[in-house]
Amino acid sequence: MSGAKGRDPGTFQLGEWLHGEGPNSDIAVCTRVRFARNVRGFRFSTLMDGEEAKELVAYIDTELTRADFLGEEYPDTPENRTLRALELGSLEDLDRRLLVERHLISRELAGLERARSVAVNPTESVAIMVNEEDHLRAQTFRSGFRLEDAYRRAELLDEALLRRLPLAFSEEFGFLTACPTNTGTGLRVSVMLHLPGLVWADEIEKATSTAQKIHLAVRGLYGEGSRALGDFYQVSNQVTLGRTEEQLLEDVHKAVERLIAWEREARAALLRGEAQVRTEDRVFRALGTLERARTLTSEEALTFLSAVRLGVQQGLIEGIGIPQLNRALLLSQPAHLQRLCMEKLSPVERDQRRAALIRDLLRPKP
Amino acid sequence: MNHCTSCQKAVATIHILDMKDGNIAGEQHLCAACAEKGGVVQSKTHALQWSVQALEDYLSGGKQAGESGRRALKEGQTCPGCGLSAADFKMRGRLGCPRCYETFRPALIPLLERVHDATSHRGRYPGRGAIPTADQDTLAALQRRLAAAIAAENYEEAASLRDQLRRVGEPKSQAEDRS
Repeated sequence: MSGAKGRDPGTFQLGEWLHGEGPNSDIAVCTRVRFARNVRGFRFSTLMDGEEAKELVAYIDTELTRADFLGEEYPDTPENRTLRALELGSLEDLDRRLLVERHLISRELAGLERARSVAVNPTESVAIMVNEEDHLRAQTFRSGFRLEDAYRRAELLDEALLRRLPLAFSEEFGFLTACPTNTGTGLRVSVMLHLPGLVWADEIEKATSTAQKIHLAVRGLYGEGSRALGDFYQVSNQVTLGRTEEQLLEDVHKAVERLIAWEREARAALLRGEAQVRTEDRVFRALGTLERARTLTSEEALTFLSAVRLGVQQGLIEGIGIPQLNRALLLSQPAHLQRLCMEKLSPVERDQRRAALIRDLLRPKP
Repeated sequence: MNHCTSCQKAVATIHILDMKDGNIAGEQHLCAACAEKGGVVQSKTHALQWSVQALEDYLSGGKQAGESGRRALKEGQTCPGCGLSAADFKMRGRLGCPRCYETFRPALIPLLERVHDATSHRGRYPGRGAIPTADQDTLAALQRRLAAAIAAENYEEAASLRDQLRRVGEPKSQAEDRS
């Protein structure tokens, strides 16, 4: 990276969520399915004290890291069916933030004081948060819009949990969770959407409030309480009780399908008639900035990368691929940037390194 | 006929009287649209307030908190499973252990009704797929009989019950990947 010391950006693997593959992946970046589960015989995580938390995490991690934990039925390679546990208390703060940026753990889990961990497989398509609000938050990720596939995997993951751990369940209330808003199925299905068309056309509020009307949540890039940086939105179900998993999947499926169609219409309209030149101008100004700028804040980077992504997908920009943009998106986040440079950086230095990194990543390769 | 005190245009259909010591201390007359905007009533399409925020409002006695639910949280009541008190639950909005669901059941039912528009589980059972609702009672009964049969070491009956359970609780075949 232009003279600065550090790792080769190519050595950072992109997690499952940034593979850029799968149906409708030009808009639906990634599908995530998670189950909230608790183990009988322990208090819920939110009430746990030091020793009890340590005991719980040690017990769960031992079970989760058994060879071929996910089992032969799980549609992946044997290596990918085995999980590795990272005890978060033993990591540096920067590495915890790295895991947040990779969408493997929540900001809440990173920030907790009590014992907690995350169990992941090598391609990061499975991540189980241990001792967050619930003992287990088991998640599967698939790039693109693949609800059924991600769900089927989550179901197999849940079955693996049930084989190994006594989970709290009642016939009346289903899988019991610390917060009554998650009880029943404990299921949250979410799809991360890139919606620059709706944002630029000023229709995003209408779109998100439509989704909210049918009881779906719309969140930003990093989940609850986060802003929609880079025009990324996560759409997910809110209700977990009284409906079957299939019904919940169907609700999200319908809404996402509708939002994807709406985004396509908005993009088409932005490239028609008088709007076209304004759209092109915005896209190419963004590209020009990324190719030339000497300092870039994280937010600027996300904003311009969003515009360039739209330009690439609509065929306005040639010679840049979505994988390059995904790499830039991930590596320009503060923790990744610092791990990449292998040193702690001040905010000013970070903005310079970010600009240099993106210039480098977007340069046409011979 | 009053006009809406907020927009001053539409006819007010919602009348709010603030009571203090048994007397009317203030009044407000709103049209449906303004009432909805102000969060006084919820539209049909937005019939329920979701999420943790709703839960917190509910427990803290905020917007339209279900009186019945809060009354059901008896002060001083404590869960024998984890020691969580009703006051703690009210404050944190989180339960302390699986047993809390029984301890605080009377308060939870209206809360679940409000948050999920439902009070009982219809999804997956451990080790099986989703259960058709109509069969849920049969299923619960079968499960209880099965447990009893196993406890009594009556394996013949247990095997037959297990078969019945399988038939009732057979997961629907997976819909093909639509995406």
